[in-house]
Amino acid sequence: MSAEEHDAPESEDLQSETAFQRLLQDAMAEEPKPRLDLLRGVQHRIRERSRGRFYADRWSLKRVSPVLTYLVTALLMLAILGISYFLLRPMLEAQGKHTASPIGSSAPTHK
Amino acid sequence: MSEYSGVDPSDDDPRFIQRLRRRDEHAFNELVRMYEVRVYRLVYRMLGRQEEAEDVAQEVFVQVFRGIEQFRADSKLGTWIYRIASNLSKNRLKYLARRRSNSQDELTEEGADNESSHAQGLTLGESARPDQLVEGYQVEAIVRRAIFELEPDFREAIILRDLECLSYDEIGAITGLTEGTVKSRIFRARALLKERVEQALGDKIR
Repeated sequence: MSAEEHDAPESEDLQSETAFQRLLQDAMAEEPKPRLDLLRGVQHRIRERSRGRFYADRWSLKRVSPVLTYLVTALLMLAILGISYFLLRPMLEAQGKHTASPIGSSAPTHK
Repeated sequence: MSEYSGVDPSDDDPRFIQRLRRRDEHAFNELVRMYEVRVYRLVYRMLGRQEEAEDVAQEVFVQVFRGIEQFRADSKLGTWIYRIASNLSKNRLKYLARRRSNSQDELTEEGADNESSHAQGLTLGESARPDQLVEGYQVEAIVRRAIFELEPDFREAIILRDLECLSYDEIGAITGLTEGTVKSRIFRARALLKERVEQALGDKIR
């Protein structure tokens, strides 16, 4: 038994305890509320301290190697260029024929 | 009145604890939402400063996330979180005391500001006895100041018992003290608080 326990009262007056609690609750009635979003702050701290292992945002580069990200981006760009080329080539060819044929037919021939 | 009545039925669900142990982010979000108000309130009442309380409250949940594997199911999850909140608050108080930063002023000053604004907003018709009204505000301010002037261990005991309305058993689990010591500490804290309030009221009267 600790020294503190020896001072413990035999019984507490329930009425005075309730009255005391009411006095304290009145004094501290104002309900404190945080000004900021605690969850967001907690997530941010965990993300930073785990170096992006937890709560990593979708675009965070911390989870994957930056080299891999650059490689994927480069391949994606190449693919987009290739697709664009194959889509636009028939249109360019058609336009080329259309513009070339009248000139070719009406070109003066020097005999 | 306190929202705390033991713990929520869902948060001691073994499956929920298991999700937390697996570091399930959605489960952890739920946990933060479940406890943020209570944790913040406890920390704010311990520290009396909004910025410090926000910082410590966030730190509590980071500690919970980091240490969830150490949580033993023999105690309640809420009690364990309260223990972390209480310990971090006391550590912060020690740190602030070392920096000679009095952590009590803001709340007391805020309270005084609110009191004066309340008093200014009231008309005589709203109160039969304006002198009683002012007296009431003064008593509340004195009580508030007296709470923040208590030593951290006594303040913790008063807050957990009289404001958060926890049982002796729960307070024992949070503070790591026996039930007898908890009762004794609360008894001494109340006696000290009464003495200081009476002294302050006596000073006011004189």
